[in-house]
Amino acid sequence: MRICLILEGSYPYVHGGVSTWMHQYIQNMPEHEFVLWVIGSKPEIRGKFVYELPANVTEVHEAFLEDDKVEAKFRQVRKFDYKMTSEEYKEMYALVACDKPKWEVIFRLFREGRVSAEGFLLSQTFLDIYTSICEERYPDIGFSDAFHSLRSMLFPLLRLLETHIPRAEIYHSIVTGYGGVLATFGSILYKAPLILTEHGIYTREREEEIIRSDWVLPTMKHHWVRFFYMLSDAIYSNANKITCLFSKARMTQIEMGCDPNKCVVVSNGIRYEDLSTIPLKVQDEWVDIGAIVRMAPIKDIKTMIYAFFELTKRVKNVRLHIMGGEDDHEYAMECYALAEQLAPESIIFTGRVDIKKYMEKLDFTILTSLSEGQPLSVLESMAASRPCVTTDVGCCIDLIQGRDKDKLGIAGYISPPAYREGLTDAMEKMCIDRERRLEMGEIARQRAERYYQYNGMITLYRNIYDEVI
Amino acid sequence: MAGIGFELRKIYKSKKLFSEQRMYLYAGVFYGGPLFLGVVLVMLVSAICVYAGMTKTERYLLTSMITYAVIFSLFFSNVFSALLGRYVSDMIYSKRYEKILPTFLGSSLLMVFLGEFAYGIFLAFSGISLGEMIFCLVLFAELVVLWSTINFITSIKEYKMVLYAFIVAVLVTVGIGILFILIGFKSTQGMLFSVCVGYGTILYNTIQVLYKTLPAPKEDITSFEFLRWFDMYPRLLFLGLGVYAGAFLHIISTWFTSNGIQIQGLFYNSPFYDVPAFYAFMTTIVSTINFSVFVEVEFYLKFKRYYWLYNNQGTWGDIKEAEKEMLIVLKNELKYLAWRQTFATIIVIFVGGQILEILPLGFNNLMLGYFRVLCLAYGVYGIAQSVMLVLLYFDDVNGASFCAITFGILNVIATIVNFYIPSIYYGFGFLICNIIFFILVVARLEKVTNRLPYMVLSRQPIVNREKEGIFSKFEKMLVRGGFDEKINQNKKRV
Repeated sequence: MRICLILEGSYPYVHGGVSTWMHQYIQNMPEHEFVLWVIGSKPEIRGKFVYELPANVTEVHEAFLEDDKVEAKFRQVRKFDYKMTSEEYKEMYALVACDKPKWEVIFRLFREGRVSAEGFLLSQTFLDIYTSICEERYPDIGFSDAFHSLRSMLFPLLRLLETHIPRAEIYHSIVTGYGGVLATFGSILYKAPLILTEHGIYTREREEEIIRSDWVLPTMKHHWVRFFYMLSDAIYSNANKITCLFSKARMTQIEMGCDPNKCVVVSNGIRYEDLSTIPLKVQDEWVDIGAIVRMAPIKDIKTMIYAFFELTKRVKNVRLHIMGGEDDHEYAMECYALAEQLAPESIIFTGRVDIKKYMEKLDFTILTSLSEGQPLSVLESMAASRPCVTTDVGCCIDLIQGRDKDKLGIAGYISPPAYREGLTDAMEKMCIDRERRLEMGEIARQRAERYYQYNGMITLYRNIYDEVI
Repeated sequence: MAGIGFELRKIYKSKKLFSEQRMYLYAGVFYGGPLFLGVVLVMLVSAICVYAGMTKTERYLLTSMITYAVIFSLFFSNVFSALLGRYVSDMIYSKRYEKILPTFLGSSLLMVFLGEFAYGIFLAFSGISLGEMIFCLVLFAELVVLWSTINFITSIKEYKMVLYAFIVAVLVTVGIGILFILIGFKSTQGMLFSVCVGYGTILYNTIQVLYKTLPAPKEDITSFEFLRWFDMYPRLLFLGLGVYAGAFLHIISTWFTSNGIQIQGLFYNSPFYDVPAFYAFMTTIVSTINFSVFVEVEFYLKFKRYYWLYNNQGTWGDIKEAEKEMLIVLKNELKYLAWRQTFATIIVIFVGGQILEILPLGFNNLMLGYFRVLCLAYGVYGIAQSVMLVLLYFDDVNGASFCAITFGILNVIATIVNFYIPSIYYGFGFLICNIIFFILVVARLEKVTNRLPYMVLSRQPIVNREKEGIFSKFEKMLVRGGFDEKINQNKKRV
């Protein structure tokens, strides 16, 4: 079968949880042909893949949010003089207002080349829509700034609607957002089934990002959040099947408007056989803590370093190994500087390493993320009989404490995100009681073996493909 | 260019006795002075020629050479003025005041260079002597720079100096002219020389004023950066061409009709038409003054506030309110301008006509008829041109240049028609062109003011695409060729 996978800002451009998962997923479905439709930010990264694409990836279509080259077909309609029908106007209005537009109407406008992104945003029609929204909903915001903010918000989305739509038998999006909209576009255009797999809850992540950001005008934050909810709604309301990693995520998806009958939980899986055979660390005078994590703000590595620094005051001979590439160079530099300042001797930045090899040197692992879905690094650590200290994000609590009928016991400790003292306490407990640590490691291994095996996951996805077609 | 009006307003606000009259006097001297000076000089030089007993051909050739220099230099510098105006206001907006003086020098150099080249070719084939040719070129260069200087002056603190300079210029010209006659040097060259010295005096003084009012340049003494604006706003070039070609084409074309006289070589004139046309053209000063004293000042305050709101978090309600206020002021001021121009035109047609008849200018009935029609036409022209400038304020380069180019094309058509109609109807074509020009700009202004937020916001590009056109390359060539540097070095050495 020819399956189009839609990804945004992950595979095959950067390493990370979703990327690793996607790479293995494709490799493990040799019977299918995959078309990658990937969205990056800047066009400079075109073709710069960090993965060697498996043989069953037959096509790659790249689209970039910050691409401003105009395709010939759309250049002609830069001057906007198309008179929209009242239905089209209504749906474009809903799009600008970030309500719930009928996407098929908008797709048709762009598909038939009657409207172009630039043409529309430069038109009187757009200004009229904007003015009327301002009058209705935002009478107190700066008119001009909000106008430009709105334009820059809509521009990348509308530009994406102008890109080439690859043909496939199934559209499988690994993300909502822009990717979700494109997947919906492809599915509607070629009347093919649509599947969504969400690792995290994209909309919520964007929402948090926007609330914290300083690049979005404070008065426009609300609208930007609505924008991402609108994008997600495109695929939520059109998908034939929606999967997520854990039940709490499923509840969130339903809350956000997904049909409960379409939502299923498909947990992540790891190659248990490969990891469970890694020997435990030979006891020495050190306690080695590992963090398998990209250097990115969302991973909150600074809190990890602070918490570890506290720990070094309480426990002698501890080491922290931070394993992972730089995702955000600036942030990484700040982390290096912080570590250098606080505990230069005992914090080791390894860069990207072979986890299976390195795991032999570790006693337990830590994850301090502010947001996660179902982190692979925790599953890997568990399969290798290493207990975990994690923040209470995503389904970490299910992984550590077990869910539903799972009465195996705890496989580590949970602390609220960004709570330094809690993390220090948890690490301290792990460090001082070796017996308990080994016990929890064994529970972790058993849980991974029972619930989080790779083949189980692949089978479930195979079944979904068969079901929707 | 906005600016001088503000200085004038200060005089008005000081509420001294006759402050309003003084304001008009200064503005009149400032805008009308150089042109008026041309008329006065032509008259005086003619008088001296008569007194010295020079031939009629010599006299006509002399006035014709001055007229040509005035018309071609006005045309040449005004073609660039819309664009330079735009560049200077952009520099003022981005607070790069130190760029203005180098731009004045750079643009003057370029205009003189190109203008002399073009005018030189014309003169070479015109059949005048080498000496006359040199003086014609000097006069042309002086005038090109003079019109440009007036466009660049944004405040007029030294208005008295300008006024005195005019008087000095007249005295110098007459003095030297008479001196030449007394020593027995009765030639057109001598007269041309005196006119060159006269205009040289006034040019020197206006440049002094310019230097006093503009901030000194930081590093570059000349700058050709404005050339890039040609690529950004190529239409402004056509706008200048349309408006000023339109204004003078009818005069030039008459030279070649049955009414025209070939004086010598390529020098023609049509005294029956030229003289009334010049006097009529001077009535546009009413609009020019009113525009800079009232429209630009009163309207500009509201205009600034309106744009300020866009840049400073103004809400839709604030903007709507400010827009309403601004448009009321604009419409009122334009209405007053139109009334003042109309009133002035009517007075000039009746009273001015009478005076011209009395003066020993040889005004006959035909000339009086031309004068009346042309006064009316230039009156409409003055108003229409002011409205067009408002369009440029609203950044409607496309609309303004469309109107200007249409005006230019209509004038070409009217000119062709002129050759096929009886000479008593000359001037009517120009009048009709102006009425159409007026209707076009007013309709356009109506359209633009109805969709101002669109003009301000929507037309701004979403993505900035650098556009390098022929003029940017020309700028690079000038800079790369060391043209800029060499001049700068020389200046530094001096």
